[in-house]
Amino acid sequence: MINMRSYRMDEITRRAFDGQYMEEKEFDMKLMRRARELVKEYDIRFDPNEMIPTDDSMADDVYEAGMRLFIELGFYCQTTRRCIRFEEGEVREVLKTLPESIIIGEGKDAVFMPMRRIEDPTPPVIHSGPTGTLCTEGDIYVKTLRSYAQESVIDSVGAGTLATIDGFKIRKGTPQEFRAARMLARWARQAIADAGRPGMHINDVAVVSPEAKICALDPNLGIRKTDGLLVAQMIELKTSLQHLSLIEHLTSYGCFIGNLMTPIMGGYSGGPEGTAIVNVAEHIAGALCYNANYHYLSLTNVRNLNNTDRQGLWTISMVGQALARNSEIMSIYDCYCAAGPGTEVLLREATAGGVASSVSGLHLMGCGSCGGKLVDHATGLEARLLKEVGVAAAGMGREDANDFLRKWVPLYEEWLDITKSPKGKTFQELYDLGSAKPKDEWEGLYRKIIRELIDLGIDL
Amino acid sequence: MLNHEEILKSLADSVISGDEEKAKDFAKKALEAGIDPLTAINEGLMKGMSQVGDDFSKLKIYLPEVMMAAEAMKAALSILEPAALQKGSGAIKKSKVVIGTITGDIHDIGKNIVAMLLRANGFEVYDLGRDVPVDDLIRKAEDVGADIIAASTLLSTSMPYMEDLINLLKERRLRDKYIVMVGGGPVTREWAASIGADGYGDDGEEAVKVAKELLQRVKGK
Repeated sequence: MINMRSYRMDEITRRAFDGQYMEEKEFDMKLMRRARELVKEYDIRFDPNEMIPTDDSMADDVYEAGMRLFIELGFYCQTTRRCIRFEEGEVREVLKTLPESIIIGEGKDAVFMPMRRIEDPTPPVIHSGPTGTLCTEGDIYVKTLRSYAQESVIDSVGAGTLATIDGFKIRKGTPQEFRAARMLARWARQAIADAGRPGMHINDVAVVSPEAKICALDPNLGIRKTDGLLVAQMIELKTSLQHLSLIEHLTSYGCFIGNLMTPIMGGYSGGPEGTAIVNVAEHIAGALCYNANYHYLSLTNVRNLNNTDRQGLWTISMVGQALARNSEIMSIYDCYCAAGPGTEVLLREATAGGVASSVSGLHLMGCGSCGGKLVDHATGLEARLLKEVGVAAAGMGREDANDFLRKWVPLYEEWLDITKSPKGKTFQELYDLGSAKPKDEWEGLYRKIIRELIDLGIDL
Repeated sequence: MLNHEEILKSLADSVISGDEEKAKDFAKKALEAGIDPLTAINEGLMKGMSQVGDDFSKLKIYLPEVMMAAEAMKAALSILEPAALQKGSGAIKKSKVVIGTITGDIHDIGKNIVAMLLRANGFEVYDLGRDVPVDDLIRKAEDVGADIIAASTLLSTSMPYMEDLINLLKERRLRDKYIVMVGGGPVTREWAASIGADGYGDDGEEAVKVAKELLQRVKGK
């Protein structure tokens, strides 16, 4: 057993070259089979009427099953086609070193972000932004991010994707992608300054190439050490030397690192039970190999690309509880909605996600909409609601949260089919572009939902 | 002794339950009972696979169950296809699809699902993997005499390469030769139409349906 508690990228790289060779398809099949076996062995059961599981022993079992899966399979390196594997003792040693809290952002805008537990009264932190959603470049992008940053409840912004830069379509691996990375960071800085919160934590610039992300690092105009960047895992439980190289650089630069996972509900991991187990393994991989300070749980339904249905809510709750009871791995629920801004359905989805995640020990991020298919379908208002609901649900008991969700989810679940979900409107249609504040139409829908929630006993 | 209808139903059930052994067993029983191998394929296996595709589309089942169904189907086909060929059936000829995740994108689960469902529905699929350059897709289509070129991506930054695919086909005067289908996370029906693609699917099930419709409409197959 090698000491992994100090600098370990050398050892990780060595294992990426010396680990067991395996065709990627074989790894996928092994993961699929093993996840099914572990679900049976630990008797993990999804219950659509108990979206927030209340059985602590099941949360512990999911954690142990995820740990076993990671130990047995390792982290697959797509570049070398080898499995980066660890001994259980090495993994547990590293996990012991994780801090119980971090401080993100700087100056008066710095935010304390602690590890949360199940039914924790500590309010969740929200990392907001048009996650996974294409945005128009330039002033519209600045105004979009400002719409989040000027909401007093919001703690962090970032993570928009641009369709074009200087009018050019952005293709991966081109000069335009590198320029987009730099400009995304600059525009995020401008947005938080315009909102009067210049030290707010910027959580990502959403470009694809790991090498392009490095272009965003700039202590003056870009990503500072008090900001963060997300580093993606490939689906499921995979990385590459390019991603590990980015980790190496970000670690020495000193900014925060987010482990971005997009586990597919209904994909190789199977249903909610297998997906929860695999995602615990992905969190452990991120803590160990990505040196991650926080983890983005961007669960994605294989068909509808959301995570606000019963299976999705159960999975994120299960993962959150498994981590909260057994580790210091700080995870963030990345709320992906089927509907778009300007619709009640999106607000209802965000509400359900906020309750399920907050009660389960998670922090928040959001909101993605419409499967990321529609440009400028992201606004600060849905993030405001997500955070407010998350805060209101902090300290709520799991039984009470289940009672609420059993009443709430039927109000929107028929609209989650991506082909039928209401697409809503763009930021430009829903916001005043001068002040970056929501127009009455959108604010009115928000107030309607708030009134409904208060009537149902949510403390808003 | 089971009658023909019961054997065909058992073949379908073996695919639905992903039971390879049962699928092989009933494929043999079908031949022993004198069922035409093509009937066994179309009225037994395909019916089962159609049910599997439908269930997956409604998320009653998940990808592992679909993969097991595809394996069961493959096992039965290993018995029924040679028998069909031996009978000199011309109808065994399959339509060919060249598929890949396009340049710049290494996500392949969506593409893998579509490829698997196409195979299970009787297509001959040439899966070029991920991060596939546009000209590689065209070269392979030319090499194998494909009917369809299908490209997938999860990334908005790879969508322009789908436009390049259409444009390069036009530039090389090959556009009319192939049905072009696109799909994946950020791709919409409207965008697919705007770049001049022939088909789009919201999911694997729709992709298969559209592929079949286009083959009939465009190529009369």
